Amino acid sequence: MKFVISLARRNLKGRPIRTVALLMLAAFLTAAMFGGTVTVKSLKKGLESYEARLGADIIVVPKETDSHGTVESILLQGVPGYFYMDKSVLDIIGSMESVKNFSPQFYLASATTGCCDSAVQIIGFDPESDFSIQPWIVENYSSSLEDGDVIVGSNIRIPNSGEIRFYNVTCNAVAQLDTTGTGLDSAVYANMNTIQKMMESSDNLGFHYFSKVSFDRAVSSILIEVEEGCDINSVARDINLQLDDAVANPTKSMIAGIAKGLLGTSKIIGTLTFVIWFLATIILIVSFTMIVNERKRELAVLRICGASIRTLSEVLVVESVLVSSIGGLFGIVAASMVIFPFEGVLKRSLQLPMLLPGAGLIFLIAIGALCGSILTCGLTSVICTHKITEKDTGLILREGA
Amino acid sequence: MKDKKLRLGGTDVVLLIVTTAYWVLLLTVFQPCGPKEDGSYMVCHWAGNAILSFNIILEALAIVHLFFRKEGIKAGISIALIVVSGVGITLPGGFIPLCMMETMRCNQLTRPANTIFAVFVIIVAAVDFWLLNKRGKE
Repeated sequence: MKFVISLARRNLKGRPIRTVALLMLAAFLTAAMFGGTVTVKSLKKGLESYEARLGADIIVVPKETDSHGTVESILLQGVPGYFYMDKSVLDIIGSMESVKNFSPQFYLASATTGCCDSAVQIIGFDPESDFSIQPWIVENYSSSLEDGDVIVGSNIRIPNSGEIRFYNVTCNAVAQLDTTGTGLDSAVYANMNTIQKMMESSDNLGFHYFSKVSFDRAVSSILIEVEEGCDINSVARDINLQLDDAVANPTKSMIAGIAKGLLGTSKIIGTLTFVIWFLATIILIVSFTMIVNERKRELAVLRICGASIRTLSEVLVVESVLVSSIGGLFGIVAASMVIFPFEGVLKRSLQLPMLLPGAGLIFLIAIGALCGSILTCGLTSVICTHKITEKDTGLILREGA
Repeated sequence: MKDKKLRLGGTDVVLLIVTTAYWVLLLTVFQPCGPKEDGSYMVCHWAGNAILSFNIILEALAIVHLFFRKEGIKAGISIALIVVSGVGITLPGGFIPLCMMETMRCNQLTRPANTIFAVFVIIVAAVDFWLLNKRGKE
């Protein structure tokens, strides 16, 4: 076997251009398999995370906001926005028996100065009634959120001082939430008193975005948890019957829309990965056939020197395994250099929640892609070698003479 | 007679291509965030300028590396390329802060692109150093 490996290595070294071409093909094949699988898995994980983080069964938003898809933009892409409806909606929802919990939220968008060089979504919530944000905050911050305290999403860097300013209001960033892969990573969470302070300050600074809004009479959205056993869609329908300027949306229907988009994107990526793999396999079969045909005299000479058909097959298979494993490693490194550092760009282009899988799963995908590449190259070379070794050695040598 | 012909190695050419691509792409595709609405610049603008200055040094080193023929000098330039690239990695987000939002262009494009290109230069320069060393011993 040592002889076989040494001969295969020398054969590869002797034909550098051919070797590099095969390496590139194997790299391309593995990169497609690895990159495609990691992207699809990230999209699936992003959706799961989004579903878990929403936490509510129904979300009530102003009617005009619902038709413009503003909520989805805020929650999915982190595009800062603000919209308000009358607080009386809370009384209507509170009077319904099928509603177990409900909690208002107040949205503000920060100005592009002061804190973050770009607008940030600020979400105010009521700590007493909240059931969707606090379970996540508890994971990173166990104390209660005081006035002036904020919790920031994973996309916002906390300065060393721990202080962030919004509309000239200095806030203490007490904790940072884990990554969700959604627009919620770019949000800042505060209690209602802190939000009120920011609104007042924004007016004093000359930003009149919120001057028409009466903080005491307005909310942006209401998150609802329905009683167990109640049908979420019927509860949403009942709420809609009683509301004029607001709409109750079951969160499942919002997620279903994203899931549909995700399924479409996953299908495209899956199909592309398969097409690339299929084409690469065809190219490999053609390349190996051509290479073996080109080397048939060399193989015939080796046969005359005493090498068995088995040894020749082993040399060719070892060559292809060496090429596919080195090329495969290059492919994984190349795909990693695109997917991991530019994850944010990828997420923004796909406009879908995306969360990279854990290191363990990524490692398994890499091993799988590498094995797939080695197997494809190995099997292709076995098929091509079988064809050439069937021919008579003497005939091969006379053919080229 | 002294052989004055320019002998180009594979790593010479790769180093020149990578360092040129590095600053060309930094100025076109991977540039940091633009000016704010009021015309002032964000902090990442200065990080971008610093990276560009380092790129000019890298480019100059790659060109000098191309013209020197003595293995010792070439190896020395390769070490310089490794050191300058290593420092270049730590510039954005390290020595010079970038914007606070991870979703900003400078965090999503400039920093990862800078790291990848710098790592490329380090790898090629290290290979070049190893090859020169090997050749020197032979």
